[in-house]
Amino acid sequence: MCEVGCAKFVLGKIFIMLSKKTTNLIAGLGFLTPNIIGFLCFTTIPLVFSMILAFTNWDLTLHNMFQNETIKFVGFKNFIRLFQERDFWRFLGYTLFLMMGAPFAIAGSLIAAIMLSKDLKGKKSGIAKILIPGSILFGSCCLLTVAGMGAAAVIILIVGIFGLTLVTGVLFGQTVYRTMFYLPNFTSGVAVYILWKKLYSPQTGPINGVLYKPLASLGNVVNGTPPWVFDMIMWLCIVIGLLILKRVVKSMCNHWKDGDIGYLALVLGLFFVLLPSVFGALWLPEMSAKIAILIGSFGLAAYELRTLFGTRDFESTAWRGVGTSFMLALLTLIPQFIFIGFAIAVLNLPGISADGLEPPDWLASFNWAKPSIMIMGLWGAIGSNNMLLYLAGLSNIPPELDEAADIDGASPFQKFWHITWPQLAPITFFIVVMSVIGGLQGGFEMARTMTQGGPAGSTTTLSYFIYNEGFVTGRLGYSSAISWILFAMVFSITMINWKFGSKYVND
Amino acid sequence: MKFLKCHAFLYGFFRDKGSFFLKYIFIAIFCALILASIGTSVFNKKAASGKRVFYWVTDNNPARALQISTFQSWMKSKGYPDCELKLDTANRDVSKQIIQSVSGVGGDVMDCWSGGGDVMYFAEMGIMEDVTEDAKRLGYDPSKTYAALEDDLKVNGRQYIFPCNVNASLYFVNKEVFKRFGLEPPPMRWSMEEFEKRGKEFVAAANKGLDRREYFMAAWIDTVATMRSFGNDIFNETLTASKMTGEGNDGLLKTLKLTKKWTDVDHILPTAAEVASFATASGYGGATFQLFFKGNFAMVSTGRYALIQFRQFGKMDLDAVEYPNAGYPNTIIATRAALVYKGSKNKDLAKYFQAYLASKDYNMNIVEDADALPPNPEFTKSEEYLHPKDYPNEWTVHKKFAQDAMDISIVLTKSPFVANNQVYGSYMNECTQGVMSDVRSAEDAVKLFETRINEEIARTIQEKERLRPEYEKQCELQKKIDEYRKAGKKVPKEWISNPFYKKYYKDMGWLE
Repeated sequence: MCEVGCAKFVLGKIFIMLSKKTTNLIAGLGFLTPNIIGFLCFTTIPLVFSMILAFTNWDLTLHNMFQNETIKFVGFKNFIRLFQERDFWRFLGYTLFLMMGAPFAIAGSLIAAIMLSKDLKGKKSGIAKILIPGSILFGSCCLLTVAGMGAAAVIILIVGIFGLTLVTGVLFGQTVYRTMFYLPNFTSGVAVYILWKKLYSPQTGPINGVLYKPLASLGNVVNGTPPWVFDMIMWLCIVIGLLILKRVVKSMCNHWKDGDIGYLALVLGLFFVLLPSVFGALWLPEMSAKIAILIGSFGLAAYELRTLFGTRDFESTAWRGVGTSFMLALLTLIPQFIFIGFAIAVLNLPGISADGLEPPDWLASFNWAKPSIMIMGLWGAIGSNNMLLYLAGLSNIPPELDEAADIDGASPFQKFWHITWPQLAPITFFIVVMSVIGGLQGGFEMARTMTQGGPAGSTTTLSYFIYNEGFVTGRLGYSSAISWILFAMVFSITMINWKFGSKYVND
Repeated sequence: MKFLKCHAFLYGFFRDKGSFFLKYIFIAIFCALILASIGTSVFNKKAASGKRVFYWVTDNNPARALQISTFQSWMKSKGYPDCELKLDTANRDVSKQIIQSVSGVGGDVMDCWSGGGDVMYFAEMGIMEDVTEDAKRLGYDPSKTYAALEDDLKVNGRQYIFPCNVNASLYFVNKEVFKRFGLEPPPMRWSMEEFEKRGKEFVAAANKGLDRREYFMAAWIDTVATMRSFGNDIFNETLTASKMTGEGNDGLLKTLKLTKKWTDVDHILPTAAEVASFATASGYGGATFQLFFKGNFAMVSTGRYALIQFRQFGKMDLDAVEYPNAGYPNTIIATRAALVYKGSKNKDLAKYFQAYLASKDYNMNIVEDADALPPNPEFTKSEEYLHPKDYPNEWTVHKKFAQDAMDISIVLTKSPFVANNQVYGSYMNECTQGVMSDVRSAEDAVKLFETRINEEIARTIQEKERLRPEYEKQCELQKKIDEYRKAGKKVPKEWISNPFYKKYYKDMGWLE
């Protein structure tokens, strides 16, 4: 009895001694402990373990509970081998190629968000224009369904859904559209991939079903077009590309004069700006075009660079504004590559359509497999969390800004460019960072479900490569090294984004 | 207003009393979880039979239920320990098997595929129990199955697995389709030239007047079997290198060129895009078997197991013929086999299960449901196998599959010096798909394939020092074999490790 009484007394004393702050801390930690333990066990420890693993020769066939061999530290051997491995560079290239879809995906989600921020509900004109035709469409489809749909079932179904969408949108407002756009996000990734696989079916898929006849007609047009027209289009593309280059080099020079960017930052920017021309010279089939693109790009760049010999308004350090320079270069890389690609496609068009123009084989084709995945990614991104973030961002823009612009007589585009876009900069920045991270790490599910990394490895991304190295050959150490290199890339790009991107956001 | 009042009340209530109530909610959930755990434990005990339980990691196939019940009766009839075999169909994926096995929690009995490399990979990891002695004792040693499979059952002379069923592929022929287009079905054995001639005739007759090609003579050709028919294999005689280029070693190159021609020029085989277009169904074989039934493919290269689906489609006028050959008729034999997990606590029961696979009870199950060939070839001589009474349309094919497995079948070659699943997976796919997609020429693709394998072998030897002595010994033997062959001398059988060359040399009369 005495012992119990003593214990109670001591415990009571302890509780009295502990301040409320301390008891709160203990209670808080008590609630957090399960989560912290989980985080340590399933995230931190495996992470550290994988880091150690990257410097070892751990191979499942040599080192497991049934084998006696000891794991050896091999220093940087795994990393050195990795940089010598042709597959690593190839799959890194493919991963980066697939990431080129990210800007389009971001633009798509922004456009979707802007559209979904408009409400049709309650506007009389909206009701008149949409509700009546929508109801007629839906009603007609219902009647056709009752009468028997026959072979046109799919088309009737799609048209009916379209009509129903219009009607419900008008009756219940933007919530309906927002929900519908976000629906793909609730669907399991694998199910979506299988659905797209069916859509991409080369001869029986609905995509090619739609493309088949227009392309056949286009083929006839192409075959009837004189060859000089294609040359003209190619030259036009080259000229547009060169003009973009000239404009950007001029902008860089102006930045340099204003002291916004330094010498080395300028050189780095110029290197990236001129890169598409070099690749264009390699890829374009005609010698005259090769020479023209090289002379044109370097000549125009030199012409704009002449201003560097004049006086500089403000001095700056050599690396100042490297982010500005890099961003400017990046913004020109994509359109330049698009125009070069378009020029090459136009030049090849007569050859391709000689036997009639046919829709692509999508996932079954080495050249089309990656664009197919990018298109699917674009579709997914439009209704993704990015769209939700943009929607939230749009609702936070003070309406006074728009009203002031209206009073000043600003056009819709001007309002977007000078109000909406800058106001959304922090969200765009966040989305860009997350897209880059997701892009570098992604592609595994798609590769495993849709293509098994093929055809001929064309859809193998770094994450799928890591899986293969880890579980097909059993080289866990090497596989970890690839993972850490991937992490280093993600980390570096994110740091660059934070360092230079946040400047624009804050400005 | 009512809603607002209610909302205000709830908000105020939780603001004032929330923390107090949360504690009790937390404690209540915690107690409920503990009670649920105790309850589960108690009820599970009641549900358990009290027998020893062991698990079979296999695919989700309805036939497994019957196989398990037959196993239980077989165990009883043999007087073996009373036990309960349970299915684990959620962990058949190889990655899962590997991770669970090296972590000590693999299934007691696990299915694995021979051929592509599972067995060699598992053996290298040491997760399979060596059953050589037990197999002799319980009567399931390699002599109880097809001789051609011996190289797949053993690694370094030790037995690890026993077949659940066996597959030796042939072309199934839908004779009705040939008749429909006024053509004769192909003969049992045929040359490449005849395949091409008949193929051209078939596609011309079948696709006449159609906007798109809808009929193909065959769904695909087997690259390895075709290459072997030229007298070449992926690995050399001692499995120390790949030699697929140069004079006399160009079987793969010729195969790829023929495949390309038959696909893109003659359209005897469908392109990848055409196959993808047909892909409307699921199940093993994808849509291929339905298309075979419909007649889009007049022939499909597959095993006897395809009959399970064919029987569901309805009666077909069936036949089976060999792959076309360039001089050396052959086919690939492989097995879905059962291994005993080395970390199992029920190894004795698992070995009884392997013994059961050689029994009449199990083999007759396979014979009746047509799930490929029975593990024990003795049962392919039974009347139930040769002439199943409900399926007279199949009577011509059963014997051919069994005969094929015994006469011309050879297992896929696996080298101990390379990750074989990579060879038959990514490397081979890249080679064939690269050619078919016009990414590279057949010459470049073969060269790249060969280089990759040889680089991988060099890397393996560098990383796994324990393999070096054996590798060097085999390299020396290879030199001798090359010298003997150059001199036109016969080669001792024990010098050759490659199962293809063992048979090929024997059939060519090149063995001592």
